[in-house]
Amino acid sequence: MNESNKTFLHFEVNTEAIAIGERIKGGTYRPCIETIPTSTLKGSFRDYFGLTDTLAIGFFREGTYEKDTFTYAPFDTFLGTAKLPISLEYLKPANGTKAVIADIYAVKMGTTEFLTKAAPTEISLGALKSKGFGRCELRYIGEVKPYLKIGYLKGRFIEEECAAFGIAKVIKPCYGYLFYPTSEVSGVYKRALFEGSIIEGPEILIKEEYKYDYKNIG
Amino acid sequence: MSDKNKFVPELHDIGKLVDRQALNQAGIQITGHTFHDFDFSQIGVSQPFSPSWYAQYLEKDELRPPDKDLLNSQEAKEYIPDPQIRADVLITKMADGISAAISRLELYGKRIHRGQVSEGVHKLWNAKFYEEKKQGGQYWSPFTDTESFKGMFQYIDSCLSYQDFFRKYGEYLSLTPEDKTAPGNIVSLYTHLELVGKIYRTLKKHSLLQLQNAQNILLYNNQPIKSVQEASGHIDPKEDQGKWIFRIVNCNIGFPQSFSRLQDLNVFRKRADLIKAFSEDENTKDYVLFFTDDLICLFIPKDGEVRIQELLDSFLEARFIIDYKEMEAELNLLTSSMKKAYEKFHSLSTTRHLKLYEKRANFDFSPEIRPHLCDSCQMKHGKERVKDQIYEYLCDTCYDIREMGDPAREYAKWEEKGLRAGWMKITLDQEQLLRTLYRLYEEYVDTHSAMQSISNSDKTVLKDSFRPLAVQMDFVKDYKLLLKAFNDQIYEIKDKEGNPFFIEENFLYPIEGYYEFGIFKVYSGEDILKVLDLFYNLLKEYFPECLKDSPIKLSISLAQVKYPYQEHWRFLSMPKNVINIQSLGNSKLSIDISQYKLLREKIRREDTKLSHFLHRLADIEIETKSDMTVMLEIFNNRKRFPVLLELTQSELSVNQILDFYKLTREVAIP
Repeated sequence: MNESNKTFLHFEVNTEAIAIGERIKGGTYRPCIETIPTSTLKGSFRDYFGLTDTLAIGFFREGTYEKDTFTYAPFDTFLGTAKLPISLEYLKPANGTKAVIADIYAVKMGTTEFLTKAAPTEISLGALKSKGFGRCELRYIGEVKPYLKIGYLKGRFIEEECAAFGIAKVIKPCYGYLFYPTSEVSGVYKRALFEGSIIEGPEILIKEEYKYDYKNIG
Repeated sequence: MSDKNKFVPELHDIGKLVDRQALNQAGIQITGHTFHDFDFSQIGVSQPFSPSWYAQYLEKDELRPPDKDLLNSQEAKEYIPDPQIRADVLITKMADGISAAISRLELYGKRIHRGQVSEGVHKLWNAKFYEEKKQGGQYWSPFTDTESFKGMFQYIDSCLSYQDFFRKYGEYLSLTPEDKTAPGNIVSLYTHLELVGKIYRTLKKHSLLQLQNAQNILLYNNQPIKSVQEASGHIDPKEDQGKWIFRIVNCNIGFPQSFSRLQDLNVFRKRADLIKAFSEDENTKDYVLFFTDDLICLFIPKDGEVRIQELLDSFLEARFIIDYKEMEAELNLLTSSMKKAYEKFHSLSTTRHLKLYEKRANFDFSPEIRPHLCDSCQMKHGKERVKDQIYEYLCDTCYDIREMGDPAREYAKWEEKGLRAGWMKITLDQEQLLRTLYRLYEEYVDTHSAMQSISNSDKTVLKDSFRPLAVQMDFVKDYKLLLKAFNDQIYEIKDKEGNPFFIEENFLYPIEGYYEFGIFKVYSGEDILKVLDLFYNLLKEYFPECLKDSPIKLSISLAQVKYPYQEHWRFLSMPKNVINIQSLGNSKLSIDISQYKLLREKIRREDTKLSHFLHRLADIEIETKSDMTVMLEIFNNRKRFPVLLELTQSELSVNQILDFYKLTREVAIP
């Protein structure tokens, strides 16, 4: 088994409630995902540490969380009225655990090493921060030099970031789109690899090994 | 070739419909199910002469060995003078081998003892199927006397199409097994011949009969062959390699849309229309071995001959996402039990060709989309659409789906206070189906009385030779019958006064013909029990032998009428067990059939004392997280609630019992 050409900085976050929303508009129910996309972490690290070029991805640790629903009525400041109540799905500590825990892996590069010095510290992630969701304690665990493995991707990131994450091959892409800010007030949606894609990449990104044949397509 | 001279491969097994015993008693001497050596003077008719007749020679001793040159050998030329018909017979023989549920070991020199002969098909999941049909007055054979027997030979010459054959003899073909000797009697002749016909036509479409150096050859993908074995390879993966590589592909047809309005459900109709069109199109219908509402199983040539992306273009154009598992192998190694076969194959040291891929056929994804993204599929740019003063961003595909009509129009009018809606979906889990079929087949070989005289070593060989494709097809047919029966019988349920319990206004099928999916009004637990009972009864009727590991699953999601449709669907599309019910903010239950049966028998809906006690136990469980404490409490109260001890001993947790009680109790669900 070959080692990845990338080194990752491994962090852990602990939180009591967090909602990282699936991008579904128009409805009154907002489901949440069980991974932390690169775009979410990029935004948070920019807001808290002024880092603009970090590349990190996170996964909630199985067994530490369960889903629940929080209902609230957003207020339309323009009209001065309450909108239709929205039900937000969020993660809370599983029965018998004290906190939801996520593993975060940041690609080691010049600026990200700053994070190792900043931690432990508090950051916020996800939606409804004003209602207390997403307050996390960020702790640095250590450096990881993972092996390469072929399997099913367990997170989501913009396709352009493949090389930066050390992805050697994309065998079966499952595409979706992630928002990519281009300025303070605007952005575009970029094609991204979603959960279930089959890749050859660092084992920390792999949910389950793929054991069958493949032809090189990327 | 005019229709009169058409070769109909399905007719090669017509002789299996002959009741030899009855005809022998009438004084006609018949051996075997083919008639190449039959003495026609016995019945005063002459031997048929149509191309289809020559398929009878498949069983001729000199032509039987798989390595026999069926295109050029003296014997082949003697019995089948026309080279095109010899090619047709060769292709039929190849298709017959792939279609067999149990590998034709004897053809490859293996001496295996098989079990007893019986007349009707033995459905692994419904062992009494033929017996019940017989009691209902049906019989497997249409050829039971001299006159009908004569008619069979006339039919071989006059039959113009396989459709006509299935129309005329379909009822008998469904009752007759492909092979009357156990354990080969597990597939209906109908399905076997359907499979043979489709595979034959695909092999023929992609091959060419040519004359090279005074020798006839069949050419596919630049690979010339003259015998079955040369094309298909030996049946034993350690033996000779075959030259012809084909694929079996299981395509799951998914969609990226989320449901925020009832009109979004039209995506099911769109998918059903496309599957129907694809499976009926003259150019593609023979590639389709079977299909359900969300899966198509294909038999197709190698990638260079047929590209999936082009073949399924109509689905991709309509923005469906196709996840597929593709087995690419020599013909004799191809099977639908892909993962199992792959693992077994790779445990052997062999250089033969068997590959398994997992792929996705995607439509074109733009590298970047400027806002707004389509609210529904989130895969394309969404244009602003305004309806009823609500602004939405939808791409043209999703908008077109909305414009297809108003499914479940009545649902929008369900406004009674406190009313809940039950979204129901029946699902066939294909992975579980394969596991169940293997389990049933192995049990049949090991324990059935028809297999009693077979040695353990022969049983092992027979179990290893199982090819589930045809059995799977038969199962899917029965699954569709169950769905239709559910649709019919749901409206036949009566209340205490003898009036229909469900009518079309309170049990909706939003998409016409899509019987896996329904929505019904839920006033109390009784509504849920009626649906569960009907599902259980139909499962027992159609699939009595696989209740314990049923691949057919029922999910019900209960919530107020306005509850987000997408969230119902998320639950319905991931069934964990055979019966799955969620009631928003109340309970979630996943149980198997035996647990359901036990709960149904033991839990009385009116028993409030039991309810209180169950709540107390649930609290104890949460507080102490100790099963022992809960069990102790149940034990201490065993005289008041003896039923609980019994239920917990059947691997039911207190929470499951409580949830079942809450979901099915008499009073209206809070």
